[in-house]
Amino acid sequence: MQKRKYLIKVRRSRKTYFLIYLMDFILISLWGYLYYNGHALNRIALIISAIFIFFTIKLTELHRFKDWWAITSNSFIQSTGIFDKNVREVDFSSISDLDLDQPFFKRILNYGDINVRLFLNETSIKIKNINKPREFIEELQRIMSLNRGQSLIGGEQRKRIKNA
Amino acid sequence: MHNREDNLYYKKRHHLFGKKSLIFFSFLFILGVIFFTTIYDGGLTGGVVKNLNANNSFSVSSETNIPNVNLQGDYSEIVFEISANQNLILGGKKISFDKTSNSLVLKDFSGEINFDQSSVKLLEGKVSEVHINDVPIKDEKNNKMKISLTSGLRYDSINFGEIYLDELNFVGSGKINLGGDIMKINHDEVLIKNLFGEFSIKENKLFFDGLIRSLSITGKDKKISISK
Repeated sequence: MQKRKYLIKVRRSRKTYFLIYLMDFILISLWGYLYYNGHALNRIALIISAIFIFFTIKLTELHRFKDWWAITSNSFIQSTGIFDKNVREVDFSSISDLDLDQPFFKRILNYGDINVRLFLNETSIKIKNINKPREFIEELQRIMSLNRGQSLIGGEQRKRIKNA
Repeated sequence: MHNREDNLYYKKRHHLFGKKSLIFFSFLFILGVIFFTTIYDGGLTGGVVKNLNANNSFSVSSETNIPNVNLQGDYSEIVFEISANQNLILGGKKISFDKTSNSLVLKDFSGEINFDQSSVKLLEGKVSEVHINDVPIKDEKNNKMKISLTSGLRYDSINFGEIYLDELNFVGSGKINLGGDIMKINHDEVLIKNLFGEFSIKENKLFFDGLIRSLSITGKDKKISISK
């Protein structure tokens, strides 16, 4: 099977897990402070903290790895899940519009959600918490318009051949 | 009425909130464990004091000149010997020391003290009881009283008893006895970390006898750094 060529492939931004990383940072800083100031470090508390930090980093990476979204030259692809994989491919011609959902906090950190709405009467595809969503929309629109332009040229050529 | 999509959205949000809450409460639980096992166990300094032992500290006694020292914390008893014609403010009232030599004992003092070789520059905090020339003064309702100075307080001696200091950094001259090895210092910079022991000032000298975790001396012709 030929490998698909993705023009753009995105996953959730690590900025999504900012608060979790902040918790890890607080714990590491607290241990550093206590160690530097010569406090008796409790072994159980240290082990629990290490497990917490390990699992939060591991879980955020797994959560991030779970879903991805990609753009090929003529379609948009959404893949969700690790073990139970669900891949959905939508042709550009099915996409009606794109909208950006970026609350204040996400705007500051420059990440957000994009809703890909379809002509068909079904739920929209949500691209969750990707980095630089505005740039992604612009790029997707550019590729879509390029694709539409090529389709038009292709249609004209077919017409000419048929008339000849 | 919710349609199917709304219900799915609600379930998903609810599920996600559960995960986030679980992580957040785990974090709070760990902070609690750290607080009760490391920080609260004997207070912020108590944890260190409890942890200082023969394996991770040095036994030190020193006799040096008096540097400018700033102390902040809780002290069970501080004993001052003060010369005449000086004042302090206790519970909003001015107290004068008229005798040639006066004794001032602060019990359960919490606050800040700054002193150098001649006088106490700053004494600001609260005390549960004060003894002036063996006369006890207490608040009627047993509340802690505010204590402060009007100006510098000249002293003959100060005895802090057993105290803990995170760090003591000064340029000094004198003798430091580190586990039997006597080191003489002469206008050298001394940095001592995690000190716990008897701390007193008399006869224009600072005396310390206790345990320390690290010592570094930097002078013109010497550089010594010892830590455990």
